[in-house]
Amino acid sequence: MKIKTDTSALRESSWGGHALRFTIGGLVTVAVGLFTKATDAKAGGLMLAIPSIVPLGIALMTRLQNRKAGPRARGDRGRHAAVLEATGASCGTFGLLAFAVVAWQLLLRTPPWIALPAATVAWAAVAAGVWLARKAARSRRQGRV
Amino acid sequence: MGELVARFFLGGTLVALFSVVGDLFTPKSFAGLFAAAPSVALATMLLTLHKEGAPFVAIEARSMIVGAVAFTAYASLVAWVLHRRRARPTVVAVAGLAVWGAVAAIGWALFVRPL
Repeated sequence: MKIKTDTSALRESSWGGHALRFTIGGLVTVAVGLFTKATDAKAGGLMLAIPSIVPLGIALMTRLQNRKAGPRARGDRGRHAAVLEATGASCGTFGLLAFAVVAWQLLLRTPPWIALPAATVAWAAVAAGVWLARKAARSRRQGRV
Repeated sequence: MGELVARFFLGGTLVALFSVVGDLFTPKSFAGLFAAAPSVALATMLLTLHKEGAPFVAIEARSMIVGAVAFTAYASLVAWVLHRRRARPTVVAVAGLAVWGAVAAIGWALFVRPL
């Protein structure tokens, strides 16, 4: 399956879901700031990769897909969607690792306005690269069967 | 107080923005990449840079490596459990946070604290 953009998903997702993500994201960012203030940069840094939004994303996705499937599906469609979301997130975490390494190295050598955009590009490139590599490996395995 | 409000709005905006961009993509497993976007990290780093400077944020980024490894363990475990068991996705995703905490704590004790 090719990577495509599909705006219909935006119409399906509710404003309530976006508002909830905004609120949780804001609260987690405040909590991380307070934790860093109470401890130090070494401890606070751990919290920069907390999977705060994954449970909410999975809950919203499961609810949407189960609603679409109806009661006969017994939550199978929601569970399948949750597996896809979690699998994608696991590929994305390698990008997060690249983000942290690039930010750490470049912040010591270059101005922040270069370091942080470069780290974000590294996240996108590595996350997409790991996803594509996983997809290619899966296709090869299925071809062999 | 003003700093906390700025954190709330910047963090919330970046998290919501990455989620909306993720919603635009198919297949859904590709859209899932955005669940591990560095939204909270970017918001925190941007505000901390202003107050504490680049060396402080570089130390945070170094510790974030351990947090990201813990996130990999968390997301892989959630995907694995949901793939093999008929469990409730939300319960697995919330309970799995304990794995993130455990791996992050071990990584902290072994690699971050001694630095």
